[in-house]
Amino acid sequence: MMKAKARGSSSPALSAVVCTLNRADLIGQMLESLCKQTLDRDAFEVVVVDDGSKDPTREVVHGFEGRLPLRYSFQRNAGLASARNHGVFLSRGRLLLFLDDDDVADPALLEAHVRAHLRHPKESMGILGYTRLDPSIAADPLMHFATEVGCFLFSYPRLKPGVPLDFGHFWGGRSSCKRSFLIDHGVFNPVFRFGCEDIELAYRLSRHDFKVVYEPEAVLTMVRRVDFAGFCRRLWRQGQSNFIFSRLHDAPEVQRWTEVKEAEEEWARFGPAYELLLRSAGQLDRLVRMRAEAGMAVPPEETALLHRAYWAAFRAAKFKGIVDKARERTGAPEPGGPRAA
Amino acid sequence: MSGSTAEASSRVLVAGVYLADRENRVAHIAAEMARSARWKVEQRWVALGESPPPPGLEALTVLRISTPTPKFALLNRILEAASLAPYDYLLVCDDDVTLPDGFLDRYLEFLGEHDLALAQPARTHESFTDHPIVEQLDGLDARRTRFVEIGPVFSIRRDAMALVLPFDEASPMGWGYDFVWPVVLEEVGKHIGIVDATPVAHDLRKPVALYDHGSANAAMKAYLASRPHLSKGEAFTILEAYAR
Repeated sequence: MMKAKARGSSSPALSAVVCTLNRADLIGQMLESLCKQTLDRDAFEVVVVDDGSKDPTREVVHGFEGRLPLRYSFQRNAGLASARNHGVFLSRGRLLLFLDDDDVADPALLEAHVRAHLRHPKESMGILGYTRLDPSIAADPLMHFATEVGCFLFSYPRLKPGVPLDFGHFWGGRSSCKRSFLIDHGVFNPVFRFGCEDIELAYRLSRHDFKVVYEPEAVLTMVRRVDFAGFCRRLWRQGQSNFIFSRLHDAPEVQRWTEVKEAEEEWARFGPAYELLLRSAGQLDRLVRMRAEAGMAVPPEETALLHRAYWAAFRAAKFKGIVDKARERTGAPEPGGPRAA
Repeated sequence: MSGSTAEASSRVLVAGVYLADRENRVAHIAAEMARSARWKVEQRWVALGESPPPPGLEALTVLRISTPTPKFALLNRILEAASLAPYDYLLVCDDDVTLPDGFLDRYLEFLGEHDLALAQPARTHESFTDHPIVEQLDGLDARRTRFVEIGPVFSIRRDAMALVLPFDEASPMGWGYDFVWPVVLEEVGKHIGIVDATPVAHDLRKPVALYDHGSANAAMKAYLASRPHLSKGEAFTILEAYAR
């Protein structure tokens, strides 16, 4: 078969796709870390999709021209799924690694993803990397809970390297896959502006045998601390996306993952005490922080109480998101967004 | 033929095939095209089937044929008959799309602004879509790409007509053109792309529902085997994105 050579477009092994919105203060750290990769400079490119930033993101990114094989593209704000699709089609790499703008890459990150794909060359295999907390936020009680205890952000403690994992493990911002597989079988659904865009895509891809393998050597560091109110908002938005996901796919595994079927019942339990739950968890969060800042030890029973409070508040925020979105769809009065103490 | 009422010196030819015996949207398409305020629009349609043209389409239907005939062979027949020299753009339209209000003027404005010699409007999110790259990308006006699909709507600018026309009947359903066209146009430095700001809804009939998938695929393979073309991975690429 004759094949036209793509003019001026040699294909790197990997495209790192970074979607960003108003994070001019953070994206520089991500790009700086990509300048220090062990992977040969010719073997990768960095594609930054600016999802409508109003801050100096563009200028920060342009400051890296010449230091990185870098492409920057702007779109009006359209949400994460649209931005990622924009990045997929801008990319020329055989592999796509989706990164977040508030993480920092270990120097071996890109090389680890490439090596993992060499070990798992099947088109339908994706790779999930590891994300640790920066020491500056690792001791933070909420970040520790969200990653190690309640696993609301990541749930690494239960993952085993090398074992194929299902669609629920294609975690955005830290996973890679073959570009050709997306081109053939589907890209992100733009209905998702935040949350579920990665898992919903992986679910559709799973019909074509898509699996994810955890690679702990592919390391990112999360450097942004999410505060209590921000975390509640995040889970509320996640809940909204869960509802949409559940309506797109009736399959039992999707219903289990989204927890939409039990949301009404759970909300009946959490709802009446919602404000109180958030307020008391927020107060406990502040108290524990104050102790820590004062150099005082936090008694184990207080930590246990805090964890129970976080758990209830975050679950409640997520279920509220689900219920709010369901009521929005049915025209019922909407209780409004989440509020945290 | 019909033209818009507005005075305009620039001319557009709309050409397409409609399935006369099946539900179609040709009346809507023809009316929307004729609403252009900036272009003198002429239309040439082929009716494929036994039924008479719908009201208003009689004068625009230049060929009626009841024998099943491949789309691009029919298009070649009506385009041979029309001298294309006066037209700035040729728009090729299927009969099963819904166009947004004011489609033609806005679409052609984006083509001019971004210098797209061969282009298509994106498909809405709800449309039937074979290739994800043609689905509307929210937040963009247009993209320079290496792929323009053979339908349901695409346009050829005057300077690209000789490169694309007549349609190569080695693949009479057009399969594979979209992987050859970028090579042909890039060779002479012309840009192709997708306009996201004027998406069309392609949701009436599933593609490939009405003809033999196997024979069209075989024709495409034979067609591509002897012509320089892009792979899917090469073709499904954005070279530059535009957002005002």
